[in-house]
Amino acid sequence: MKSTINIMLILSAIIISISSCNNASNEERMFAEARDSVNYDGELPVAKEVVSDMIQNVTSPIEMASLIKALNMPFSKNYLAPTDNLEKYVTNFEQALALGIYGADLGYINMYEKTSSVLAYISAMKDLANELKIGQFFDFNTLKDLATNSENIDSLVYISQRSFTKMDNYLRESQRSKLSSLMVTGVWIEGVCIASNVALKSNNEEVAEKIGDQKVILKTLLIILENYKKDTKVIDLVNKLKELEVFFDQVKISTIPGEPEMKEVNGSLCVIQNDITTIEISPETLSSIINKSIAIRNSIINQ
Amino acid sequence: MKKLGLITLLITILFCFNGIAKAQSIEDLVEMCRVVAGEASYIRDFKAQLDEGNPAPIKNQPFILARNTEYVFSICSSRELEGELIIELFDTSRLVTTNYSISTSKYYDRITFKCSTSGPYRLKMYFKDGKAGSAVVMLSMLKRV
Repeated sequence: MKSTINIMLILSAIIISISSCNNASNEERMFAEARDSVNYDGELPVAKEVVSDMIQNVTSPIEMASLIKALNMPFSKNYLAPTDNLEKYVTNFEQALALGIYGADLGYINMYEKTSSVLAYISAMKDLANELKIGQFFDFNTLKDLATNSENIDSLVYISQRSFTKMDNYLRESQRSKLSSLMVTGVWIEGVCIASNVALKSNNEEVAEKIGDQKVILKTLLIILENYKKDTKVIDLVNKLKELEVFFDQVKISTIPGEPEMKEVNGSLCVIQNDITTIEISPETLSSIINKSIAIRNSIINQ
Repeated sequence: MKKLGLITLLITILFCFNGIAKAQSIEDLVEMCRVVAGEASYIRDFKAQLDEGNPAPIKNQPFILARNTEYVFSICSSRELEGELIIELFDTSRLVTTNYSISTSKYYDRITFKCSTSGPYRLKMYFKDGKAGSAVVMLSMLKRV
């Protein structure tokens, strides 16, 4: 009897110690998992040196799509990249760019709740992600289940976006930021291309302004991509984007800084920036940007 | 006596599993932020996991925001560490907003930001009084302004 109790008490002690070890190692892992680069405040709020870290937030697959949807522009499947030519994407360079392009297309499809088209795009993304060894972050099965029910659209958008973020984070954390940069470049070029197609059909001023506004993003992308100029394929891509930059240089963006306004609403802080930004883009410049963007994107998907 | 031993074992197991269930991972913080963000569409999340220090260790996170867009920043600090995350949003030249009011000592776990200038922004993140902390800031998009 006594020995049984002793065994139980010893067992309890072992469980407690395993549990505390577990908690301690979890805490350590929480810190080690993403050992953040700890900086002390620099002088410039956004210095050129830190721009290369910016790649994770340059553009998101849903931002352009969301604008186009908000302007009540009709959905068109013709704007999307085909998914039946995956065998064309052989190198990691091509696969990362294509993954970004399909990511933007998926964002567009999700925004318009065209769930019947989702499967082809998530299947293509899964294959490309597997080729890039990041398939474990792409939650294909959940996305597939969600796509069968249009009531789950919020979750579909969330899990698509989150899968994209996780793949991007992993690429950067595993010293493959070049692929992450290419993926984001793919998202961007496809977003501009969808907006360009919409602009060609609608002649909408807001879409034209949104295209002109991409000048800022292109400049950032070029700074980032130039870090990888040892790769001849990247040089080729940079050269194409620089040809596009020539047209973007003709877009005039001016900003009059305003005083930010802050107020509390239902426990949240609401901030209105109050800057006044004007974007001037001539019809000729717009047309040149549209044609060049579409040509660059087509050269990627039809290589 | 045997019963006492069994009860001790059961309580221990319950205690341990309860502890494990309550441990907050980054994923838990992301889910919490998603609830705080409400109807806004997720764009990105940023982790801040900083050690204790004096001056307070800082993490800077640059990113690009687009004009005519209403963004939501939701901030969720882990309850397992003391630190409460303070964020400061800068544009290219100045501080635009923060989630902590020094005058009222009030924290906000949600900021909506109506952006009117596209371009680079910087999120400066640190824990109050230089305490160690773990937190997530989620950037979401509410709607076109």
